[in-house]
Amino acid sequence: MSEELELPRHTRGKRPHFFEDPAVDQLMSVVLAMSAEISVLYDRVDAMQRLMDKKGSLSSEELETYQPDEAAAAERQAQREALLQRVFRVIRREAGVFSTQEAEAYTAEVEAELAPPG
Amino acid sequence: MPSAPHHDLKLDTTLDEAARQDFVATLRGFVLNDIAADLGGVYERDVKPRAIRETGKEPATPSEVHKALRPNLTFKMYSSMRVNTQEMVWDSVRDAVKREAPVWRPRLKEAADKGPGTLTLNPDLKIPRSVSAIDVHLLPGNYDSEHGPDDASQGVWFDHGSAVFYMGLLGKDQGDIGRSVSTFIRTKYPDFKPKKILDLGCTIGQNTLPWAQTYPDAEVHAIDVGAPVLRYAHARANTLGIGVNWHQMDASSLDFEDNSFDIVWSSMFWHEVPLKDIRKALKEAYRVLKPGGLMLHMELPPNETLKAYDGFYLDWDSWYNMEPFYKSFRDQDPKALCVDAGFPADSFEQYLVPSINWFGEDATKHAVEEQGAFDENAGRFANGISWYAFGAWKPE
Repeated sequence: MSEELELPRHTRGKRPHFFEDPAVDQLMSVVLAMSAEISVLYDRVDAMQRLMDKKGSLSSEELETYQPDEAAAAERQAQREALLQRVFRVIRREAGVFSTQEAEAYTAEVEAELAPPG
Repeated sequence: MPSAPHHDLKLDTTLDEAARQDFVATLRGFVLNDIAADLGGVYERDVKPRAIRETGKEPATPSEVHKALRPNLTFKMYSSMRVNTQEMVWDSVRDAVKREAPVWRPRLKEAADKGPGTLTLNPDLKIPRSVSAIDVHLLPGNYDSEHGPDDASQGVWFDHGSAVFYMGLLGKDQGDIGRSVSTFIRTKYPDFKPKKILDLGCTIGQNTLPWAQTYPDAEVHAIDVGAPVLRYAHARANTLGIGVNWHQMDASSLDFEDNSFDIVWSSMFWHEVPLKDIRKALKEAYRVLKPGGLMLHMELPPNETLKAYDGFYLDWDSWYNMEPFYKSFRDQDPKALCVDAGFPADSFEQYLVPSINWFGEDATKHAVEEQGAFDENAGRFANGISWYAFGAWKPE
């Protein structure tokens, strides 16, 4: 029972895609995975800062076994939520004011105003 | 933040793995709250009026809502993010399951050997293609893949991934559904004293164990087609000191005798089963129930009780989360399914059961006093979580 465990990394069956170009679907996956890794780095830096503040020094073991207390966990959670709002800001734009019929109509007027002569 | 499994088989995670799991749980919250709210808003404000302009009527069914939304950018982004988030849930615990195998394998074996439960596997069982050919809710390897002799990896993976997925909503043991519904039944029917209880499609037994706890004198049996999840369920229950008899068996062809159980239960099961097998399995449930026994299933609410948009919102999983039978099940009338299985129409029951983890046990008493509290708002989760359950009594 000591042999290494091999687990699959991909699902069986067709992976759904939503965009005209499947490359966009794959890029979304990459962006989300990268966001996760940024968040992981944030948490690691945060742990280093907190340990340094408390002790003035840092060992690898202390860092790898760091467990945030309740207050630190809440601050880190707020940090993660803010990260998502920043990274995916543009995705929420369509649900904002610009897609209302009124704004669309005014956008058409603005575009007419700026249309090149001829 | 995800709540880790609460028993002796909990895996150690590295600093970065814990951070990755925290991120995925937060991302789920962001997609299911913020982006889902954006999607609902865009539908009401832009997509629905456009559909009315183009077709002359409001989308009336979940499929018509889906069709109207397909070209919409917010729909595409929401859907893409949800698929990725689901994949990332499993990926966030995968490395720990692999790395910690030398730790959890002997612990699991020790727990399996010590009892009090029993495990009966059937290596000759034909695994239905609805399990063997796909990866339900995108867990690579599903409930049944084995990566070595006596392997339970998929069970370990499922338990730890589910803890990230549910973000603590189902309680530390992820047993809120079983606990809420069994407590509701004990409160509503104080004279009903089940001696034998069967759970269908139990996976790792999170919602089996609460029945054993609610009715400590009952003999509890649970079945699934997946050997890895059953091995894990057995070990997990033993570490918690709860004795259940686990069997590798297909719900559409039970090995149990006629008239042998007082309760036949399942949770979140039918929506993963093809309709023809559901019909067979419900007939089997009727067969193995004692006269006077109760069949009871917690499931997602049927589409007919929901508005078209809310039906679409749940159907999404059928289209994109590798749960292909989710929609065809939810398009059924649960009462008609029970009648088809042999139960008299007037023995049909359905309840909306408040989550104990969310509302506490007082809400259970209150719901019982309100005669089950099922009304046209069933399945609407706006005021907290309630579980939909349906079933029927076998005549005496």
